[in-house]
Formats: sequence, C-alpha cells, structure tokens
Amino acid sequence: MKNKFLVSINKLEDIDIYKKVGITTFVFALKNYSIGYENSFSIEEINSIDANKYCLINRLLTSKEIDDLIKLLPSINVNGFIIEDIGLIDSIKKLNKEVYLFINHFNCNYASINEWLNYVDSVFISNELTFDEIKDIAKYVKKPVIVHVFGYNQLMYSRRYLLTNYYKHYNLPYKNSVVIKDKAGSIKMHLIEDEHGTISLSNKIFNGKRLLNLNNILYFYLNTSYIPITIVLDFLNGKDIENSDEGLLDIPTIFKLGGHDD
Amino acid sequence: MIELLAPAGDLERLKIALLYGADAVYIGGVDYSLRANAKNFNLEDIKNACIYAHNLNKRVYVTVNIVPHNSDLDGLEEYLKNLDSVKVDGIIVSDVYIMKLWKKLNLQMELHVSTQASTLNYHTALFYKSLGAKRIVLAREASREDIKIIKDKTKLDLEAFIHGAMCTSFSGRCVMSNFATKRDSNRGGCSQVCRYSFSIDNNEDAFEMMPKDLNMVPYIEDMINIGINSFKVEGRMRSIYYIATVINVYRNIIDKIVNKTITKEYTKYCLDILNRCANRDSTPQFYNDLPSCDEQYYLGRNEISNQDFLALVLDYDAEKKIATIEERNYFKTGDVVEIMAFDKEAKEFIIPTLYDEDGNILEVARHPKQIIKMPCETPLKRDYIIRLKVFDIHDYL
Repeated sequence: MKNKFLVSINKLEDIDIYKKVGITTFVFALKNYSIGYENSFSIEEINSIDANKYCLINRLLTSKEIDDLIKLLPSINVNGFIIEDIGLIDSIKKLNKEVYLFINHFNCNYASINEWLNYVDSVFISNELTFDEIKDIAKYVKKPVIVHVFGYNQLMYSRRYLLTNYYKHYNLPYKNSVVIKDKAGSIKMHLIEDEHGTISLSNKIFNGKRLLNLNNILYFYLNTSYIPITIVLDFLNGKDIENSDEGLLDIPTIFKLGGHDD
Repeated sequence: MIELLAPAGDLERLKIALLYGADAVYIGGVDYSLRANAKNFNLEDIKNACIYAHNLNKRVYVTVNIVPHNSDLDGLEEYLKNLDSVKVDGIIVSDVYIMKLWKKLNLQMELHVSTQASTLNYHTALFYKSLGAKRIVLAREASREDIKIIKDKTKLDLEAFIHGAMCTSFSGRCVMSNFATKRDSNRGGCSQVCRYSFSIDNNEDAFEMMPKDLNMVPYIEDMINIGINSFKVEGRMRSIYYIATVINVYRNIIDKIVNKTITKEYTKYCLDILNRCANRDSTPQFYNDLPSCDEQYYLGRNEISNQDFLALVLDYDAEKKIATIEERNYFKTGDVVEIMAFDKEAKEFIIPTLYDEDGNILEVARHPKQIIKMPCETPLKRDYIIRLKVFDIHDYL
C-alpha cells in the first residue's frame, strides 16, 4: 500500500524518514514554476535525489516563462512531471517522460478526465468533489488516476499580491502568510504570498483516509505543505489527525438557489 | 474584425445591448452556464435571440462554461445539438469534454475557449486550436506582451475583457465559495467570498482582497493594434441602464478610433461616464503591470448607488410630439437631464410638464415603472434613455 502514496516534500532531509516507513515516490515543487507549496527545489536539488520522483509545475505560465521552462525540462532528471498548464504537455511527451495533469478544480467528471487521458498518463481528481463523485470517476476512467487523500486544500490561486498590497495600503509591516476570518467567524483560511501571487488554503487538513479503499487509483496524493512531518506520519500510520476534516466528501455543492427565477 | 461583445442576462438586455451598439452578445442557457442566478435563456429564448440578432446582422454566443460534474454530463450532447440547430454563432467552453463533444458532433457553431481556462501562453492556445477552437477568450491576467505573443504565434481570434468586475483569483482556480458557502463557483454558484471583509491574524484590522473593476478605455486603440478581435464587457446580471451606457460608450470609442477622430478629451469624458455608471472605481488591472494596492478595494471604498437612470422611452408620437416614458427614478419638471440615444451622442434636455396616463399634471415623477407622457419637440425613439445630467461633454472640449 505504501508504494501507492505520492508524497510532496518540504525538506530534503524528510525523504529518508519517509523511506523508512515505506514511501517510495515523491513530489518536488520546482523553484520559480510552482506556487502554494511550503518549499520548492532547484533542478540540482531534484536531480540529487535517488528515488521515484515527480517534478511539480503548477503555475499558469506566460509565453516567455513557458519557453524558458521548456529549455530546462530535459535537464530535470525525474520519472515525470505534474503540471497545471496544458501548454506543457507536448514538450514533456517529447522527452518520453510521464505527464500527470493537475488542473486545480477542473477534473470533476470521468468524461473530461477520459479526454485528458488521451494526452497524459494520469490525472489528479479535483479536491472539491463528494466521495460518491470521486468513486464514480475512479470507476469509469480508462486509466488509473490520482486522488488527494491528505493536506490543506488549495482554495484559490491569484496572480495578485494580496498581502503586499494590503500591507502597503495600510503602511504596516509585511507578512507573507496570514490567517483570515470573516466577521461571523465561520470562514477561516490561510493566505500565503510569494513572488508569483497569492494562494489560499483551507483552515483544516483534509483527511481523505476513506478514499484509500478506492480502486483504479495510480497514486494517493499527500500534499504535506505547512504540515509537520510527525502529523504526516500519523496519517500514514492510520492515526487520527487533529484539526482535520473530510472536506466536501459528504457535502454536495449547489449551484442554483431554489425558488429564484431571476 | 473588431467586435464589441456585450453581456445579456435576458432578452430585454440582449435587445438593449444590440441596439446600443454591440456587434454580438453572449448569453447563458438555463443549464451549463456560469451565472446560475441570472435569468438566463431557455432554448426558445435562445432561438428568438438568434433570430433577432441575425436580422441585425449581429451574433449570439452561448456560454457553456461550467466545469461539469458526473451528474451534469447527461443531456449535454442534446443541448449542444439544440444550440446548433437554432443557429447559435458560437459556444464559450472551458471543459475539454465539451470541446471534444463539439468536435465529434461536427457542429456548425464556433468553439470559443472561455476565460475560465486561463489561457496565458501560446502553447496552450495552440492546444485549443488543435481541438478546433476559433477563438480564445484570454485570461484576465494576460498582459499586453502576453496577448501580442499569443496573437503572433497562433493567429487565433482573441477576445479580451475590457470592462466590468474582476475575480480576485485566476478565473476557475477558486473554490472559496464551495468551501465557505457550499456553492460551486465553477458551476455558476459563486458567492463571491473574495468580496467579504475579513479580520487578519486574529486582530481587528479589516482585511479585504477584492479588486476594483476593469476599465480598458485608455488602451482600446492599443488593443486593436496588437490584434484583439473581440472586446468583451462583463456583466450578464447588470441592468439595462448599465449595459446601454457601457456599450454606448465603447461603441463610440471604437468608432472614433477607427475613424481616427478620438481625442484625449473625449476619452476623459467617457471614463467619467463609465465610472459614474458602475458605482465602483475601475482601472486597467493587468494590461501593463501587475495590480498594486491602487487596483484593490479596501474599507471606505466609494461605492455609492446612484439614481441616474430616470426613464425609458417607450413611444413617440411624431404627429402630436408627445413622448411616452416609463419612470425609473425621481425627477420633475424643469430638471436638466440628458437623452442617451443609441444612434447619436447624448443631448441635454429640460424636463417639460409631465402628465400621467389620464392626462393629469404630475408635479414630480416619483413612482418607478409609472407611465408618463410629456410634450417633446425633439423626436425620440423607443429605448432612448433619460438620465441625470452629471457630465457635460462641452466642459471637456
């Protein structure tokens, strides 16, 4: 089972700890081309790792950025790439590397995923679906897919410097990571900014251990960003996780308000 | 081709948009569109919209830009066939399955890639071109340089937003609404959590992340020059007054650019009209630089609802020189107002004696939707708009 886990890495020294508990496959966010991860790594750092490894590129890229990146791709020694921007698919396929598509919030049904599977090796299922929706996707897709089972859910990705602008406007000392809460106190989330924009993360850790029983899964993905390794290990060992929930696994979202005709 | 593209939440808005100068409109069907709380169009409405627009030699695009879940797949094929059969000119899509379905069904209507797909580079645009896309609606984050490269490398039709509300996030890359309010932003249920007010790090300081609106008036000429084909105004849920005003302004600007009669003074006048109409500040946002704090809203923002829309002209009796109008906001005899026309520049007008439908003199018009008659030497046309006079174009010349 442990070889079915795909674990994002925050610190290189964590790799040996994970290996000791049977984890064999790791994700490294690529420096300058990723967003929302606790740490990102240079090509040299990624190449130095001896393990099954995937390079995560989850930013939306401009033409100049993607052209620059395409030149770098051959030098990245990994099993494959996890990408958000579909403009990279062709270039990676030419390198005979695996491509896993991770378009945040867009892979919400089996038909669309099956279309993407004509172009890529696997697809991350979106993280705002119900358990039944995910189960059906896994059932009807033509290749094994990847499902989130652990970590803070990414809720928003902005190109704006939301924290820089806020602190500048009020002339306050800058912080790149904050917790915001609505006035009623029912909405709470993390905002984290870097040079590529701002992301928001859920307040609670998503604990999708229920999904571990699904079939037709290539990998169960653990996004460990901003979570101490001890808690990740607790999850891997089947222990309860504090400050966690099951996200929207049992909560179907609605999109039309009953009774309104305008 | 230069196209001014307007939003239309229903048939009334669609007619106003086309009348006031839009070359095309985009509308949402009852299903599969991202503004679930707009009135939206059933198939019969869409058919009528197409007939109406095509008679004016104008176009209708339908948004099919939800991110479907499993349960949304049933009926999609039939829906696309139906849209094609009523002669919709194009569909605006973000999901790959719907794109492939469009291709498989060999439909006549064009495939446009929605801004929800956040296309920022030419590789991505070329991928969509390989699927048959005729047009890319660019990411709102696309800069001038990004747009120019995509145009040069793909030769695709490019559509860009020029006016209206902005998302805080990349379009489509936000599910704050889903998690905070259980309403699915990518299926039309966005509850606009980014416009809420928050506390930050447990202190009482208010944190806000909402952007000002987009306004590309200063850059329209440059956008034409770098190859934008379609200039898109946001707001399918906006009022007819907003749509008429914004479309009218951009129509005049585009025409004056094409005729080489645009002036800085006229542009300034247009900016004032637009800012007044929207009740919110608007800026160019990402075109030349990344948004700073000046492109964001913080507490104390100036968002004052105005009552500028005074009346809509319903009819004009040329023989008796009597106009029939429908009241929207308070006005009275002697007020200096403006007639906003769809076929000429706005003109000052002094409210004459007003009469109700029974011929009784009205001291003031104070009942919205009341039918009022007034003598008027200047011929008016149905759907002209009477608005408060706030800016005088002569002051700018």
